[in-house]
Amino acid sequence: MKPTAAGQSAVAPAGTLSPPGAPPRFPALETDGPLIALLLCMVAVGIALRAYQLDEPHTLKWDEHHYVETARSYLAHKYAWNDHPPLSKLIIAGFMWALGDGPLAWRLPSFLFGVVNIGLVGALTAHVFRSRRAGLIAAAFVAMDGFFIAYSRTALLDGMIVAFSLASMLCVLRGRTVRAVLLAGLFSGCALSFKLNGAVFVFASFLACLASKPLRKYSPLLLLCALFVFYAQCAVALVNVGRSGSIAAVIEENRAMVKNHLGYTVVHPMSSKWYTWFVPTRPIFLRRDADIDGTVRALLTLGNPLLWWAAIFAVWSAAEELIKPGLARLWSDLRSGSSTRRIGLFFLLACYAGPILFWVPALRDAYIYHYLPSYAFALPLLAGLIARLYATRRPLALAFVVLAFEISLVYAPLAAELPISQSALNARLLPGWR
Amino acid sequence: MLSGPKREWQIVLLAMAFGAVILAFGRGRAFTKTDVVEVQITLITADRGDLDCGLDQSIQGLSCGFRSDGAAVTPPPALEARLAPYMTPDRRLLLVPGLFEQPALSERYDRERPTSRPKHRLKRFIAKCQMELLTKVPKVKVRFGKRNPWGDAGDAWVAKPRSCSVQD
Repeated sequence: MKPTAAGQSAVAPAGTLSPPGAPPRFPALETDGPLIALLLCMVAVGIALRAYQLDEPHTLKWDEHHYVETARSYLAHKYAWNDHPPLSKLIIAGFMWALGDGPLAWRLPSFLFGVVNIGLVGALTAHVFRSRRAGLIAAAFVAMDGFFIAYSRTALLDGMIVAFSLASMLCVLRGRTVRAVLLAGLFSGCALSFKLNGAVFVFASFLACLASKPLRKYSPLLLLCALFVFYAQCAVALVNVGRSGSIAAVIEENRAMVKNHLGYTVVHPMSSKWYTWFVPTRPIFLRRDADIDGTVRALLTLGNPLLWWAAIFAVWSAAEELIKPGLARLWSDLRSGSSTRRIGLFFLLACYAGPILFWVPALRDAYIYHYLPSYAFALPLLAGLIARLYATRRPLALAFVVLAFEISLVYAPLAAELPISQSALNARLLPGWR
Repeated sequence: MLSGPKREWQIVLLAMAFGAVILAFGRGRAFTKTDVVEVQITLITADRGDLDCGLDQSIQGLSCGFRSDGAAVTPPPALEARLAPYMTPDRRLLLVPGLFEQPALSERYDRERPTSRPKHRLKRFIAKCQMELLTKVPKVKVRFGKRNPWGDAGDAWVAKPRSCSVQD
């Protein structure tokens, strides 16, 4: 079948530069209607799976106790030892203050950030590939992927870090004014204020700022803004419990936290090495409750296997596309500062690799969920690839999206905690995943 | 292969319908009313006659000794039709009628009558029962001891014991 005119123009072919500032072209409804309908259905189902019985169980799952207990301490103005910077717990405490100390308040921030992630991934992808079709595909992939759904249903931090890192990169890649730099500083500072590995996104945003001609001169502002946010949230948490919020006190608090992390010697049985995340070999059951009638409610940190492995291929393909014309060309693109697709690709790749590289020399144990931010930047690359495929081999691209949808639904019970029989659960898992 | 929007619409709508089927029917066999499952219940002999539930409805002729407002049901249900709350070792709640009327439990009760020693000195044991699952009640009042206050519980299975054995 011949590609449509809309399909041909939706994504620039490999290696070509999109005209700077060109408006993204939306696929025509009359030609792309089936694809759009399917993608919107995926987004709607993804949001519904995130919301399904969000307040169940009434007990804490996995590491939720770390964050909810600290949030309770903040509400009682009592000091609590922080394993990570306090911003996430301050946010959870805010929801608990407004809605009461219950499961809905614990998990609502994660849910809201999880929904926002769908839009942010879509916007970032649409910008980088100059294609709203690619943006919608990326949004649908994130919406239906079990890894993101799982982190939208638990009072854990990694899904929220993803939101701030995406927002920061979107600001700095799309923005033209100092306001974009300040917002990128704010968002990347928030990512850093959730977990210290958010520093990767402060650095990536700073580099992207340097690579942008109109923003270059404001780059130091981004770092200052991120540092201020980091300081402010630490100080607020300390002042709230009656301690000093001075710079010295904040440094001391974080020094102790870093020392604690570096002192971890215990290797948790569910920890995994960074190089196993590409398979993955050890997804984690955040919940696994068996009922008397034999049904199980499970929450597993496992993405859609098709998207997982295809995203790795997309990363490889994007890296090849960048390197093929030569590193000199890449360097020239970065130095010229024009907002090209290649620069966007470069920073998507950087944000994919950064969180993984953070764990390569790490002395303490790492877990599959440390891959979540990387995965959030890999799916836009995959969406760009599928959108390009749609322009040239439309049936194949549509078949891929349909298959991704069906596989996501097969794995949905493990992400949305739907009742499932033990045998049906096991049938979905490789032996090492059980 | 797909040849145009009309064919694509058909594929996409079929995919949506198939997806709904996967979600609705692809999660293993659902519980049916004739299902008999093996359930473990953690007990002490003092639990006999000491555990109460409060429920306004009657399920296949079985009912709690109290209503949800704490008032006693009159006339009181017969012993073999009176539901009482029990817990599995992993903290699942069951409402079971006449559990201690099962021969194995009755025998276990006779071996260690609770009148001879205080509750905390009684040995905890496990009853392994074949249970017929009847239904799940979303909300029930429970009281684990006549002197204890009523509490709220949710998602309790109502189950009839078919046969039991005891593990000390």
